[in-house]
Amino acid sequence: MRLQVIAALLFSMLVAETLPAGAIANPAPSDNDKVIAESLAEMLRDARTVISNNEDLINNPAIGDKHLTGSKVLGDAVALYRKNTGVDPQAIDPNSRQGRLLRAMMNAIVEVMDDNQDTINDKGTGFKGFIPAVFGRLVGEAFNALAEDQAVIKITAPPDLVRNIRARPDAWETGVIANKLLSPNWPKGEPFSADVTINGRPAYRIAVPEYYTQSCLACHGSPKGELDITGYPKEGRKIGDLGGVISITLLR
Amino acid sequence: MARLSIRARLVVLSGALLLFLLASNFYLNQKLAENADGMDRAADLLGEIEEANGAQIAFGEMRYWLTDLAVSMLALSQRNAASAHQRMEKYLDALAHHRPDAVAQIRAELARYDDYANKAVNEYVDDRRVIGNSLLAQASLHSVAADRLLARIVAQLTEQALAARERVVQQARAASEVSRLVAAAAILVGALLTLLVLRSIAMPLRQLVIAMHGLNTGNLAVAIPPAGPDEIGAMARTLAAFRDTLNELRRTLAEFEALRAVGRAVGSTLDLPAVLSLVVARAVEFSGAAAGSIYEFDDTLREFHFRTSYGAETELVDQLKARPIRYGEGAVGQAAITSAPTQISDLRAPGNTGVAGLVEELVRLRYGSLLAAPLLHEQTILGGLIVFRRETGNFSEEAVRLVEAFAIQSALAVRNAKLFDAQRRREADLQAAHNQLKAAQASLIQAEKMASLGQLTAGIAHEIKNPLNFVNNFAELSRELLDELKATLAANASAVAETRDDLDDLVATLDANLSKIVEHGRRADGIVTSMLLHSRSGSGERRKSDINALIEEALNLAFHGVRARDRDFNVTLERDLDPRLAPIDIVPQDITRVFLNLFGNAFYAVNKRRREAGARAYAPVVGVTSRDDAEEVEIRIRDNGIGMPPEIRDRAFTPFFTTKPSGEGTGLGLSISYDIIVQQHGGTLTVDSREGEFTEFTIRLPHTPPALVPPAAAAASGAVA
Repeated sequence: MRLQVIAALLFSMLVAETLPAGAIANPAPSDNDKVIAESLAEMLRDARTVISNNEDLINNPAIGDKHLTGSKVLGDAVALYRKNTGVDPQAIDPNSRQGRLLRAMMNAIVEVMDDNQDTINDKGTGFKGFIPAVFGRLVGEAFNALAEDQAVIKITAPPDLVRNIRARPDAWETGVIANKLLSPNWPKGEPFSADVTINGRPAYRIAVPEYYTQSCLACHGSPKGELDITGYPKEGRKIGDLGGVISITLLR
Repeated sequence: MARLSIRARLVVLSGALLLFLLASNFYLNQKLAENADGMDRAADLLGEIEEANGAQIAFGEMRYWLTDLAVSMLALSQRNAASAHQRMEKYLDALAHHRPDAVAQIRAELARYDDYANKAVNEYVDDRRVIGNSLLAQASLHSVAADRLLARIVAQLTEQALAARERVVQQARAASEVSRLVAAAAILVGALLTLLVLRSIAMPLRQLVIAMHGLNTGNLAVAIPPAGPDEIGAMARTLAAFRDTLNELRRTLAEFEALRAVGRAVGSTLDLPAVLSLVVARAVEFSGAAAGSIYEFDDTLREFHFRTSYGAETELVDQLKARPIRYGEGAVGQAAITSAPTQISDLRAPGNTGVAGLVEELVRLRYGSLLAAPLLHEQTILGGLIVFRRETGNFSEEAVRLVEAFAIQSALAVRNAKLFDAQRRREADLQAAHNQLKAAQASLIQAEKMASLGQLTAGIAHEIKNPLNFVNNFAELSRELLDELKATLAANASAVAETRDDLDDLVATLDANLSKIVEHGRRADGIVTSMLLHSRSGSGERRKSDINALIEEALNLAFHGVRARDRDFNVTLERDLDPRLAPIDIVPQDITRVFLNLFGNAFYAVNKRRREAGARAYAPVVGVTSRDDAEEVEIRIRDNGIGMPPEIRDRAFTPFFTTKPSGEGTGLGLSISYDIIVQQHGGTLTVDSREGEFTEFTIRLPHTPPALVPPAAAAASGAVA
């Protein structure tokens, strides 16, 4: 997160002289793996935040059509993206690598939301299980399908916190989580990235840590073992604990 | 049973019951052990069934969670499936100990199922659902196979467990039956044995209780059960011994009572024949003899003489009376010599030591033996006691001891009788001596009076002599004057008128002289009267008398009595006589005698001291005081003479005790004085003295004296201290 902020600041400084105050920059696309990966992670987080903010609406059994469409969520997510980065993701060149991948992410968001309209709009049902984590996993899966052979995104977690086996960390992720992100000396919020080779193909991998906030603890807090709203036993975690990792692989 | 001791009987009973108990316990233990084995086997089978069931349940859970995983993709389902798999493996491990082959088959099927199922899950994770379903279907085949294998094992085990349980139940039932039979037999045998043992104890005990009750109520003839070898036999023996002891005690008590009666008779009566009759009767009765007799020893003749008998035939008594036994002759004479009982065990035996003549008579009267005991007192032979028995043979030790005891009592009786005779003789002698003593005492009292009178005689003579001189002189003078008067009248009859004055003087003088003669003549008369009063035995006539006058008279008499014997004697007389003293009721001549005694002693004491100390160094004083305190009159006579040491003072009133030289005192003065004051007048007479300083007698006479007791009677009664 800090890197994004720094990047955004640097970018702002570069365009400050040419843009009027308060305007959104029209950035040049980056080919930097790190920048691309972090922009993808930001978009995913922003969309997930939108879902989180609308959780009460989604689980309201009294309302049928919630008008929470894919375009609505994407619009809100882009707005958040802009707010957090000062960059309009839709303005990035769609032909660039970053532009393609960001658009794949935004399309995945729309796809997931549109695919789950029946669930979201099911009148009479309260809790519908369409929570930010499920949304994030589904968006990741949709993104992976859209960005085939270019990037893979997965929302994983420390092994004891993984609830869906599809989110299980692989060996690299497991090692990064255990040795870096959970290390007492690891700077809070600092992603870990590395250049790797996957099946003989060079790739860039980054693991962006996510920490529990107050809203997370409704399902992951205390008392440990008590069933949360989904019927899963709570993990007994506290605010600030490492709760998840957005793992992004950019294939070269 | 009765041959065994009670302890042995109880041990046998307890042992038999214990044996039954142990046997039945052993049998039940055996059966319980077999039952426990069967139960263990059934429990093992149940354990195996539980394991197989557990494996089946775990397998079912595992299948459920894997299927759930395939649908939900939840890690929790995967963990639950893994946990169920682990549980199933544990159950299979346990089951493998008993059924390794079947478990191997199950594991093979399980491995295949697991493989297919995991592959299916992975396919689902990768979103290849068709392949996943296919793999899951194949897994299901192996799941059914494993399930069947497990179900078969459970069925087999259930069948085996049921069979094992049935065997256990059958065994328990059989053991219970046998146990009931054994318990019944044990109760029966135990009851029989207990009955036998109790009967063997209770019956003799009951007999013992009856015997003890009989003894307790005094029935010494009560039957005591035969003494067996057991504890009850010991009790019976003890009870028999107790009965014998009671018999012995009763007999001893009777002997003691007899001896006590004899002793009481000996101590309470001096009727010697009666006592001896009692003694010989009891001696015969308690020694088991038929007759007996008592002899008294005549020390002068050295012979034993018949005194009394008991149970003896008349002809035997006549023989015994007629035939004194010499010292050393026969059994009695021998007993006297040896000072010990002597017996003739067979009177018919030739050459026995019996008295010739008497032995034949005894044999004729069918006596078989005799026992003689000496009547001894302090080694002095007083007689002999003989008992005669029909039977021959030696007398028992008890009989000998008893006859000896009765002989001792007889000896005491004889001795008491002799002592009583001697006492009576002594009492007669004493009475005669007493009478003589009384006569002598009366003579002495009279002698004392005479002595007292003798002491007074000189003084009295002096007293009488003076007035008589006056009487003589004045009578002589009067006669001369009368002669002169006659001559004067004859010579000058005409001048009578002129000599009238002279005549008157002569007549007056004559009158005065005659008055003197009268006065002194009366005085002499009074003295003589006093002498007569003193020398008389006394009439005992009591009358109101002036104590002070009696004191004056006695003091005067006593003083002149001393002065008559000793012209050098002088003394200061101090009188302090209470003028208010009222006349009291006394015998005056006796009280005067007391005063004379006390004043006489006082003058003797001061005179003796004067002689010892010398006239210059010593001023003799005799004082007398009288006081009246309404209840009684007190007279104190005190002198400052030689005084008395305590040992003399204590004996001052003892008759015949005197410190005066022989011939000067009888030793009866104070004794008689005490008698007069205390016995006759109910007063007190005490003395206080300190040697070399003073002596003071105090007389207290009550105003109201008791009945008159003549002094002679008082003296005769020995009441004088």
